[in-house]
Amino acid sequence: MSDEQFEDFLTRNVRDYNAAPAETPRDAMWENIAAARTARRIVSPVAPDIQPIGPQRPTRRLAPWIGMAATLLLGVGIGRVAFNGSSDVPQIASAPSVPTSNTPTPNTPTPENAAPLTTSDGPVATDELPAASTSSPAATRVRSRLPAATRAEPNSTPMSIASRDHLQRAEALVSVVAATPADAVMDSLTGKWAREMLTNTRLLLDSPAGDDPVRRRLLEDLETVLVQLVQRSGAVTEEREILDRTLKRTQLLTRLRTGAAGI
Amino acid sequence: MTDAQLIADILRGDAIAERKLYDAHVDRIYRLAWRMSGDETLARDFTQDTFIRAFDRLADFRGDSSLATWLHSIGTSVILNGLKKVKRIHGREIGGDELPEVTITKREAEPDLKLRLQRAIDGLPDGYRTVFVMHDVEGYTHEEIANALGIQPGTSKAQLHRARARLRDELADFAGEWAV
Repeated sequence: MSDEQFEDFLTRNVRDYNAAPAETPRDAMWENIAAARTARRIVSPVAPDIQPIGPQRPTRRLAPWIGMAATLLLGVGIGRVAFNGSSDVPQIASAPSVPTSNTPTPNTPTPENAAPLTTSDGPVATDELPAASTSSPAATRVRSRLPAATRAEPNSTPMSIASRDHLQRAEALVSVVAATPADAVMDSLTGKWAREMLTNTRLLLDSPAGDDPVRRRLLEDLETVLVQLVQRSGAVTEEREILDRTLKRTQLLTRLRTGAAGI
Repeated sequence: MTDAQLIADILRGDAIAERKLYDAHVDRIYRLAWRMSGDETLARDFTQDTFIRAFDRLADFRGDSSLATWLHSIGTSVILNGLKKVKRIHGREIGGDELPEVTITKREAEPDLKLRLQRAIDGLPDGYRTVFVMHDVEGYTHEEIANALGIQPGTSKAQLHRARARLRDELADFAGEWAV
């Protein structure tokens, strides 16, 4: 038999060798890829397009992000150990006692003061966000409206610090998004910010912070909004209406302020 | 949209561009992973790992080759390393030495010939099998194979020739049938 005959035979028959199914499970694999990449961002939540300029050491740009992630992870870790099985998880049950129909506080960031968040100078430095700090007027006002029994000083456990920090950052993000014109295209940095917040929100949901039913509901609503934000990242915003509806329905901004102040 | 535009969009954090890149290349990578592993779970794992690594390293892509070539070089590396790990874990080689002995006393019917052919391909050394599967089964060119595996096109041709010769030896008992 000649080589040609054998090659013809191979051509006819090797097509069946380990033949893959006609349908590629694209969506299933994509979900896993997205999940794996999100998990990696917990360890190194740095935007891929952030490159060190000139001789600047990369660690300078990474440091705030690593610090934030480490704080959150440390908080979650210590929280898991400290509150595992215990019933005295810090409660923010006071949150529902605050009328949810409150008008937004005057310190809601405007597009003008939110603008520096999305400059191309580098990563969104959440330390510089116009978030309500623990001693902000909004936080003080909310705390003063709480019943005396629940008006305790802010809890200083790592878990609470991590939760409060996260809710404050979420408040800043939601404020910026709410203040952005409805027909604006969401920039990629805001998308990245939302993605990172989403990861940390899920992490908190799995931590003792998620055991509290009120806080859990708050985090779940926040998760919904963040998912919507991530989905419309980089796209023109047909989904903006859905996002606005969710924000309105869940009164998320008000509850975030209340939640952060109540921890 | 060119590769460069797509990459620039992805590096800016555009999730839609990420999905576009994935959709454009996933079928070919998945098929190759399936052909090489013969296992759905492994094929999925290898494909996913290929894209995770590709997205992680996209900033390092210099454009010396096409994006497809670059992706396939990652893909083949992931697949071959993954198969080596699987072999180590299972503590067995897929090589011909350890294949169950198939004694052929007479010419078999065609289904048996196909089965024998599949086993013979499975029994090829990794290098031969990779080139054979990519070229004869999946239709890659020698240039594509060379770029993906980091070898010379001449090496690819030589390995294909040796792979075919070995298969021909393995199937010598069926010499009368493949001419049909």
